[in-house]
Amino acid sequence: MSEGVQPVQPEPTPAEELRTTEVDLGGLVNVLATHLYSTPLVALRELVQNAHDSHTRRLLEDPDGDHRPQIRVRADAARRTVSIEDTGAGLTEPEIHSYLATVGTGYTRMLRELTGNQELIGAFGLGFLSAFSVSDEVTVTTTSHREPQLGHRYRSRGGEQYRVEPVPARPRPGTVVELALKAEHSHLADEDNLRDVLGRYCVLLPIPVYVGEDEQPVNSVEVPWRQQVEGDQHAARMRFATAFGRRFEPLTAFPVHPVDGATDAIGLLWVQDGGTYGSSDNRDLAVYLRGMLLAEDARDLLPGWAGFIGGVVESSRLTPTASREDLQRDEHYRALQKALTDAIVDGLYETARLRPAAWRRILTRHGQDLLGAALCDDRLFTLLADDVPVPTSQGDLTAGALRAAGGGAVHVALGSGGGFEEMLYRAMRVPIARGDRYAVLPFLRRYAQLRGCRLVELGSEQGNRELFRDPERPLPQEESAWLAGALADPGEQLVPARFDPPGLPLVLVPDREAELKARIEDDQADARIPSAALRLARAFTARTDGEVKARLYLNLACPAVQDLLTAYRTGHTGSATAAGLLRSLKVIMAAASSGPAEGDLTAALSGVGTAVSALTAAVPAGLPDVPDSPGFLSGEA
Amino acid sequence: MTTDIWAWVRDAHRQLVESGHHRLADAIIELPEHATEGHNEQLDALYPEAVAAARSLGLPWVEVYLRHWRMQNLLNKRQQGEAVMSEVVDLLEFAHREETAGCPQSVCVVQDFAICHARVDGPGYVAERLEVVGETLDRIDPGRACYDCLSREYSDALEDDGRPAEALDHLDTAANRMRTAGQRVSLRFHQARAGTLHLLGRHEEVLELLETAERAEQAQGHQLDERDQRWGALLRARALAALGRTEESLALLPSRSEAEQHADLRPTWTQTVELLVAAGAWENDAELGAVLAGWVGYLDTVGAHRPCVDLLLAAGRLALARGARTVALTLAATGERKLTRLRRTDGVSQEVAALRAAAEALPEPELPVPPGELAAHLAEVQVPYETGADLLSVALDRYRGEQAGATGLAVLLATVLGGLGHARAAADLLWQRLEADPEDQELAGTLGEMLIEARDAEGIRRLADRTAATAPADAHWIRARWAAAEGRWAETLEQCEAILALDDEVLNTRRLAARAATELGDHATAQRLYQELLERALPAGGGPEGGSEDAAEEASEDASEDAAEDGSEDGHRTVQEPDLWHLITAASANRDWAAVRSAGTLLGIEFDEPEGPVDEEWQLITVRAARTNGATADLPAVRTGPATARILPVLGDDLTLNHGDVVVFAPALLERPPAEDAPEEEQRHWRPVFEMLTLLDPAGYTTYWIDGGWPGDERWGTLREELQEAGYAVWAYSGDQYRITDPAEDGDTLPGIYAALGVPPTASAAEADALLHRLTSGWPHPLAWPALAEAAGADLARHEEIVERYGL
Repeated sequence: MSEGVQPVQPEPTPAEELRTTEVDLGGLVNVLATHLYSTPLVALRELVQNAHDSHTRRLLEDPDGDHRPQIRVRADAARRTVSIEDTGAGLTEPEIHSYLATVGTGYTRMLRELTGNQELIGAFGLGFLSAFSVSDEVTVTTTSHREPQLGHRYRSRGGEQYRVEPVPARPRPGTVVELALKAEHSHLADEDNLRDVLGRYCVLLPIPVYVGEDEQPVNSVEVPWRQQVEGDQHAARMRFATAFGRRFEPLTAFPVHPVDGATDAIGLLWVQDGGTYGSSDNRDLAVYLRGMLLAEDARDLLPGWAGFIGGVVESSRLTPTASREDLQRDEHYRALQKALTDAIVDGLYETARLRPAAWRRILTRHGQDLLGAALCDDRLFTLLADDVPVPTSQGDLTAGALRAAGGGAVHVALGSGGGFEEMLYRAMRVPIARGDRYAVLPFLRRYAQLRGCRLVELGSEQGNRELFRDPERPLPQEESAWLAGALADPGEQLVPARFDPPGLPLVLVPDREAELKARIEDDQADARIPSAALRLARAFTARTDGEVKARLYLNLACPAVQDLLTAYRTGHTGSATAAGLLRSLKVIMAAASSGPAEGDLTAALSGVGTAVSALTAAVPAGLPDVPDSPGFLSGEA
Repeated sequence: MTTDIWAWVRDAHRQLVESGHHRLADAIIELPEHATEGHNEQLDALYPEAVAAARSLGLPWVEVYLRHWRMQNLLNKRQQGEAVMSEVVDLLEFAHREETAGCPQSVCVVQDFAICHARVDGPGYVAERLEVVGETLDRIDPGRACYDCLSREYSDALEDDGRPAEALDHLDTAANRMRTAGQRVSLRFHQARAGTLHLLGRHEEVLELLETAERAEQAQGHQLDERDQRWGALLRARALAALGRTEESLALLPSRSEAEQHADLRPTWTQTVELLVAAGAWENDAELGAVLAGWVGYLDTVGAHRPCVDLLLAAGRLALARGARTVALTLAATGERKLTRLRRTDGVSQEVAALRAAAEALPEPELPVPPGELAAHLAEVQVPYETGADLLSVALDRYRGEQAGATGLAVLLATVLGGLGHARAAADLLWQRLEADPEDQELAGTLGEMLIEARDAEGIRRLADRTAATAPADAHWIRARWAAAEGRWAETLEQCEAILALDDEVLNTRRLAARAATELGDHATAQRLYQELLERALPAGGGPEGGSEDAAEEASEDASEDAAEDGSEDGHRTVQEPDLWHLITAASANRDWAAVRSAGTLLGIEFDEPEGPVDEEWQLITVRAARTNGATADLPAVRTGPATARILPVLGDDLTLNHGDVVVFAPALLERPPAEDAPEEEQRHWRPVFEMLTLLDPAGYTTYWIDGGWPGDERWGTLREELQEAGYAVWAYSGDQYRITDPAEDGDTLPGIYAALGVPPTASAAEADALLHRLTSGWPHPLAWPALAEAAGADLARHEEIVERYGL
């Protein structure tokens, strides 16, 4: 039966044509199954691709023939089989021996080299063999269009040895490949699953691919960049994105166009609705080569900030790696990366301009990612600066709203302070951006630069200085000394100032350098920090004297403080009591903020009690340690 | 202390993912990459959230890890020194607490601490660095990854001590130990070794080593990252330049913009450029000098004292080579200042002294004109900056002992030095000059401006405090302008009022105060200030010019910030057009129409009606208003007076305005009119754009959206007319591109219309609903107005059905 091609036959079995495939297939199939292809589904892809190539070949060889191309994939769960049927060129017996049994001489490749036809997909001649990675037995029943009266059946278990026998001709030329699946791959014999998988694999194939007895091919969705789509382009793009996107609905979709001299890639990108909990990277890009899925998860082609983008592109310039599931990182790859970044930015621009409703949904859904994205691309920054919501103490607000509510300045908390700044602003009801959230701080810095407004970074020294303005005129030294004695505890430096809100008389701000000095110079550090390092660290902290552990800012704009000063100046007997009350307030507020509480809360509370009883007593009794008359300190001031 | 850091990272990552903390999990993978590749912005974006998350989850090891990698970026990529010392000490302490001592990254924190001292003054801290790193090296196994980094750090310290041969021995011994322990030697280790070979003058070996090391790296399947590639190219470029192979060096040398972006490249880049300049392959021009001066300034501010001195010495050598005397002297002065911050000055102090000596030995240029005429001469003749600086220095020298004139030259010299990248030196020069000439107001003014521009809050406070004793009004003026630059308008007004209390005659103060009052929405105060200004100023110079429209378009930005108070020119003493325009604006906002008319008359504006409220119909303009989200919206409007306009479109709820509202705008053009040779199309479409200031009279329209099939021009025109007749307004938002689903043809589309209906305050929603029904009843495709129907209490089903059927 064998004619033409004469493969080596070491031990021909006389009874039937049992032949040995011309390489060490046991090893190769094993390699394919375990290494080259990451998922058994790839075997299906390869076989559908062979079916597609068979049609292309038929069109080349028999351009005028009566040829209605279609591919049908069936599954039988009970029998654990999957079959792939085409109405393509079919194989003659010599062709079976040449192409099904010989690794590395894939007919497709030879044909492509001869004809230069780019529609042929196969490239490595390994496609058919991949069938063995999922099957116990593979049966190929075929009738060539050149010999429509003949039928052949190829059968092989494991691929190493095969038989070819005559069978009745098929009603029409073409081939059926039937896989008797290995037990561990029985899940492939599920038509619902096949519809899903082939819907993605074959979406760009021009030949209809059916599953089971379906009347509708799995690849019926109109490819917006292939066909001349009637009517609304956007609607067609959205239909495609909806059909293709697996995990998320698309919010909007926009095209990828080839770029002259850089990339031939064409396709579609879309913004996904929602995200998975916790992770912001849901980039999802499928890459097709000559209509067949080449890389299912080519997310690295999309910029890292575009966690919300899904898409499909096809290009014939990308080179697959040997496994044909990934792409070589060459110049075409990099050109495509750049083109995709531009396409996303352009697409977002157009969305903002033409589809305000979709744009608002995108901002709501992906605000946080967009903040980060804006930092990576200047054009995006300009687009997003006014629109993207920023997390603040009063919910999500745009930077503009934040600025308006902040009286022209944008306030952001660095999240590292003792909490007193936030307390001040809470009292003023100014919204404060959450600087400890992703991208917020650098975004607002750039916003402030772009829009020429002031950024107040609460928790930085600079920001804190902004909070406290100098008094209109310095306090006389003698008054300062009295106030320090009456209000400050040891280690606290009194700083007369003015700040908002005017209702707040004083606020205590810990000195971070002094805190650090205390920790480094603590005896316990000796045991923990390597000695040479510790010596050097102490040399640094020795530069600050550590005397001032906190600054006590006194609000001269506060009516209570003004009254206190007036009382003191006029020698009012209640001034000491009033000062005691403010001193207690200081300690209570410090205890309520998140910083380390220094003062004695119990004493402060009883101080309030003392003050109240003093105020309600017939004759006010001053607090014991508070000097209560202007003359008291004048000797030492 | 024996765990492998990367094993721990993988573990920590897995645990974070499992417990649902994906963002922190991602961060611990991404942060080191951003840190080492110099993606500074991305690092800054990621870091605060990651640290806050680690703290709130109580994961001190993760906190050590994150803070360490950020510190690596600040020290190595951004070359910061003293500026981060307190954070690095804090981190050292944190990484050695009971709860963090076991963290494998704690060792690396010791290294950060040593590197920070290397940045501040590498040679000055050699002994301490060797001790600190040596102490740690003794405690760890050569099989650990940090052995690699610490060994490099140790050899860096030896190099800083002028012992490159020992450094090389140290590296080679360390490499052998690592190999014996089964640890691969990293590419960075080889690159560090290449640096040591450079110091030993073994340039050929540098090239060979880099070649072998990169090949070995790739053979391991590692792709070179951006940083590795940049450094590979830079180290080769330097070796090639040293070997005299300038063409090859030029081909590999990273561009100047890359060095601008990555501060770590700058020292080696500068060394290479010096070699290339010496070989005549790179132009040693003032521009190069300005770039280097900028980098010196950066190192100065981040407290990298030693690298700052090293770089300024290179910049000084180049300045000497091109004969830039003043620049070289400026660098020498910076060097002298920086020497005081160094712990060890042997070698560098001689080099700085040599720089000064060589600079002083450069010939001084002959003055082309007497010193007193130099400023005018320089303004007339285009002299290169560096030459100008030399001429000004000479002239300033001639004035020694005489105050008059010297200050003016100093101010000019400071400006030139600022342009050459020596911002700090420029400010210092003015400070010094202020000692000699404390009364000069122009000097204080220029210094104030320079400090405001540099956002130097401390300097401004110092200047204001200093001035307060002798010239309190000047001190308030500096504070007022600083507050204005920062947008603190209440404080601006307060400072201006303090000046007015001292001197009632000042005019610019009133201008700035009025600006602040306007910003604060206090139009009454603004109007009062301008009226006072009119009473005190000289009358406007020229007569009224042009008609109202021309005048409006010529109004320019507030002049108050340009002219200095009491400056030599008296321009600001006269009433200027902008003053009158501001008065009109404020008076319009206050509805003081008589004041609007009288100021308008002074500007030559002719009113159609001689008295009463100004409400005329002049021309179409564009009013730029702020949306609620802070973005701007350009709205067509009819100008009804010099500073008032009536808004035309019906607007949605992202604007607080609506159709028919009368607003006050600032009559300064926000966009230039098209040039005279612009295409006719552009000329025709151009409308003056003005910024909205305040809403004057709301018209009370309510907006409802209507949506559906386009009825054709005729029907739409009729609808529009009839609505207008009934006191309604309508504004179409959709254009030709708007298509809706055609229910008759599957998949086909129809042209659509999406428009806003403005319902007047006199009509109820029910009346509006009924009117729309009547006016659109015969249309081929019905329109939907669900929100209006809902407000009217009408049946919604009809609208929902239309929305569904037409896919609206």
